[in-house]
Amino acid sequence: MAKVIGIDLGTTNSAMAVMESGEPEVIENNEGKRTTPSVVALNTKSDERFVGETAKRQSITNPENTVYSAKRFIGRRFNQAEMKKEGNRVSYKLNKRSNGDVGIKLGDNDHAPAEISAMVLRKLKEDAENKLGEKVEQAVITVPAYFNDSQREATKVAGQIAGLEVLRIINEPTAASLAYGLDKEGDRTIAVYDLGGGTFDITILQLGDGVFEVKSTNGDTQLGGDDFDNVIVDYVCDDFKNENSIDLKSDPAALQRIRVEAERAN
Amino acid sequence: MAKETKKDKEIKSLEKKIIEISSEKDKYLDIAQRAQADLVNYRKKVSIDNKESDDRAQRKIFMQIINVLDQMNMALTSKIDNKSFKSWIKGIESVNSNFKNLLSNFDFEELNLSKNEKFDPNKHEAISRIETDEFEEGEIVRQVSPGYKHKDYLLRPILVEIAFKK
Repeated sequence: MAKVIGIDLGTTNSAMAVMESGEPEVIENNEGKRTTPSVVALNTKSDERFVGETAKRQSITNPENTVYSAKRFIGRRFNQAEMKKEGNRVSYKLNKRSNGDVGIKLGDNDHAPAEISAMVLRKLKEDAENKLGEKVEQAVITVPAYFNDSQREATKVAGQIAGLEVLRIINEPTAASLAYGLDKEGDRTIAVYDLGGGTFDITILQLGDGVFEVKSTNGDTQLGGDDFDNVIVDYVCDDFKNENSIDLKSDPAALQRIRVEAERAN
Repeated sequence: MAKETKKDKEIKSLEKKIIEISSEKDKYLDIAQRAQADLVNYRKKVSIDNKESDDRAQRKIFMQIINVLDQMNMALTSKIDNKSFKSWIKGIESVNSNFKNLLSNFDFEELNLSKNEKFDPNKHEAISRIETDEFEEGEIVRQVSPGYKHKDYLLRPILVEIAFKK
């Protein structure tokens, strides 16, 4: 029986897992890591496309053609009030597609955010195939509980563009509850916190007869683990500057080491 | 007593078959459950074996790191004056080279930029941009830190600074 993979298509990072004899197991990507940056880049000179870790590594050199956080735009209308604000936070260009949805400019082409997500999903699919040694054609993809129908549909389309049959779109807090086996512990109301790289959500779920009902969901779309890293980096640099009058922020090598250690300390 | 009809016989035979199939089903269910339990136990054993194997590998590496650490401690506790400073530096260089040998003994390879190497995110990571006219936009200005590879696995890309023009 062909394997079905579960994909957490995150704003900052994505991950995938497979059920192995009744237990979920995270699949490492081709770089040997359990998470893959949800980043896509295009080198406009060589027309080479990078996805994941390699896209992130070149982001400083190519900010206009390095797309991250595409999930913030998936299934959204260009004229929605918050889109302008979101657009100002990214280094690439957004535009209005002919159907009124948000489009993302990568090189000379305009892409639907679902197409960008599809590039990430395709890498995950291919990496999973390498790791498992067999074709992967079916997947379950998680989305935030607050995603509306068009955002869910766009996520499904992204999976299809990546060559996956999307068996189901599951709410992220529901998937987390299932992973902890909470569906087997009787009827109850639970709170699920989801601290991602760029977002922080809380969802109240009510469990009854194995069905999860979202009672309420909220969060901060501009707060995540990356902000924690930045605060630690700033703290270390400021402290060092006060004690030694040396600004480590002007030394890229030192700054990089502090960033790596800050990520590890979290 | 009524005579057993053909239908009664057929029912009896089918009932016997149901009992046989049920017992066969129970037998296979038992085999399947045992196989599942064996698999779960086997996975647990593999996980314990892997952990032990990791520990063994770490001990092997750390035994050699300890030797280099001893040399470093010796260097740090030795008294240095103007006369002995040059040989002390040589000692430190020797510790450094022992450390590099140790890495290469365990198949770790240091990666450094070769001349005129073009930026490639498969082995480089751009950590900052430098405004300069000496290099073309997007070219590597300098290596900030070496990269490291263990067999085919890239542990850390070479960290570089990239040129840009305003």
